[in-house]
Amino acid sequence: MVTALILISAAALAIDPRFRSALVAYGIFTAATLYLAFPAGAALTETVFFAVLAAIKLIVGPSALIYLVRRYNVPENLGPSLGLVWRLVIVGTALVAAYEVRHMAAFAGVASTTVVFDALFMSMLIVVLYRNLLAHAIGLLVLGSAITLAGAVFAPGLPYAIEIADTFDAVIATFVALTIARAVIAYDPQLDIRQLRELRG
Amino acid sequence: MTQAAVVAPFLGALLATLIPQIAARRLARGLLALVAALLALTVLGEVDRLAGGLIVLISVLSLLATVFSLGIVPTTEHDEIRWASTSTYFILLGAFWSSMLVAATSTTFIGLWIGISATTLATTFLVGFAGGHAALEAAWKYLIICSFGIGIALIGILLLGRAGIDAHIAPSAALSWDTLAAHGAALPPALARLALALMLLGFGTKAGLVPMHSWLPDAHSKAPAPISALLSGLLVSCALYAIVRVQLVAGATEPGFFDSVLLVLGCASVLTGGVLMLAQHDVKRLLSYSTIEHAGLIAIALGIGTPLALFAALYHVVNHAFGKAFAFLSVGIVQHERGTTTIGKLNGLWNDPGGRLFLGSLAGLMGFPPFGMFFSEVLIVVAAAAAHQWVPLGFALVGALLGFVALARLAIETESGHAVLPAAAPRLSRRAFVAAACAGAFALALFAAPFVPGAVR
Repeated sequence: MVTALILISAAALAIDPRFRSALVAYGIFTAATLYLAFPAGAALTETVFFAVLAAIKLIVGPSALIYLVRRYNVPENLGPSLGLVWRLVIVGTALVAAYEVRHMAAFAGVASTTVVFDALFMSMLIVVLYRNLLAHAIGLLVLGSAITLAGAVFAPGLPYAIEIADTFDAVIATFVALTIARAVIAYDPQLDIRQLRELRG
Repeated sequence: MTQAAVVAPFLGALLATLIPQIAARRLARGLLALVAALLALTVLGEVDRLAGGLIVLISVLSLLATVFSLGIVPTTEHDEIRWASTSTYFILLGAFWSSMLVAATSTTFIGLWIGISATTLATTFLVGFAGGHAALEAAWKYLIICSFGIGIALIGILLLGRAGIDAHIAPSAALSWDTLAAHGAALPPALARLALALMLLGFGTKAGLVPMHSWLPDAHSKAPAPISALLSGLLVSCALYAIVRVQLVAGATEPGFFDSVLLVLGCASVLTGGVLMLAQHDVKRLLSYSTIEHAGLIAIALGIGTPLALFAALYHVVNHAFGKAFAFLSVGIVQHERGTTTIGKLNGLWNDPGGRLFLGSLAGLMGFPPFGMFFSEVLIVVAAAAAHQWVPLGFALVGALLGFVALARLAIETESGHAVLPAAAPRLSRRAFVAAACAGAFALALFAAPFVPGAVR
């Protein structure tokens, strides 16, 4: 059930260009990944880092995105770079690829590889398939969740440094990305990546 | 002591901002940076030689960048850059310095990753510090591409940790490179190979290896000069250091595969960097592509993998760090005085001290003796020939030749002619000049390194 939620919400993120839908899909995706990755029976430090991570991803990140959209009237469309049919084909292909990863010799005996690689592929597709900088910030947040999930699935016994690393990722995605995006608004209120093409060659 | 040394640059920058008087604050920044650099040297006994070398490199170059910044303080005229105050600049510089020390003093892949990833926090703002459309574009590209690259490296680290646990290494030691290398033969080969490839891809992105390089020319050319010096001289070195650490584990598990991938990335980088250097119209952008070319050269030497090649690679890392810092700092002086870095607008550089310094740095980058870079490039060629790696050697020679031509053309075009200075040209900053000259002196003095008894061994 939780795995299905992750797959569906990740696909929705890569297909639906409406900001509000993306935010809802992101919320479901993140909550589900955090649920799967929750370090049950972990030490206090690890639990604290996990709580900070969850707060950044579920509260701070979405709040900052909503603030930017409302405060600066950023269009509530993430600006897909390809038509719906192409997006569906690409997302479907990525889903099949994520499913097939389990057949790799490297993952013999490892469960849940499909959901990890699906999350990873979708985070990349969000950046590739949308032109809006806010979509790219969401892509970074989704990448962070994919890593959290990878930590829980691939190496559940590793020390809590993984939680610190994930928290770093989340801070970069929310704080740094959205601060730069806010500065870009001065030049392009649409936050369209096509306007960032001055540096060539 | 290690923790104190690591946080000292950041803490020093924070403390200095509390001083109200401008002159005293400036003095405190310089002194605290000196203390931080000296403090870092005290931990050399606690780390191995490889990490020790990187710590020395970080301490010296970061100190020089701080001194340079005290002379020519980066500013912005753009209101949207809310983080662009002098105090914030030095705090971000301190954070950058500290995060590199985290990477250098770590003994595990996750600590190394946290250090390199933390550099992104500070450097994204520093890349966009000048403000304006182009600087923000560079900052955005840097953030997105490097975050994804480094994210992929983290997944590789997780997989390597899993491989370690499968090889019955205790989870608490499963991310230590020494332990992983010691148990290399027991690691599941398929999983280890995938993990090492992802780590190479991720750290290679931060090192600017082709095809993950597209952020580098933008970020390095748009950042303020001392930050460009640190990005090219240190951040790339830290990423290459991470690749060397990964290679230590690969050497115990999948040496052939890892070295082959390194050779391919190195050949692609050295050639792409060399070709694109010829097409540049901006000095800083040209130097940035030169960084890609040199990163490729180092990757080729690492990929060859013989003891002589490894020494040549590490020696070239140090030479390149000082040589490129020298070039970026001196071009910072030229930019400060002339107000431009466009090649067609720079003439008569031989007529002023800053310009002469810059032309000297070009001689170093072109590989003229007695600059250390001459010796490390010769060593790489000798190592490739001795290992019968003729194809990588061919790529290295062609790339280096193209780079030489691009730099020689730049020197010829900018050296002569009548200097066109702005009406109110600023005076030469003595602090900035001394910092750049010191970087140059180190780049020159490094020629002696291979002649130190036992160095090659």
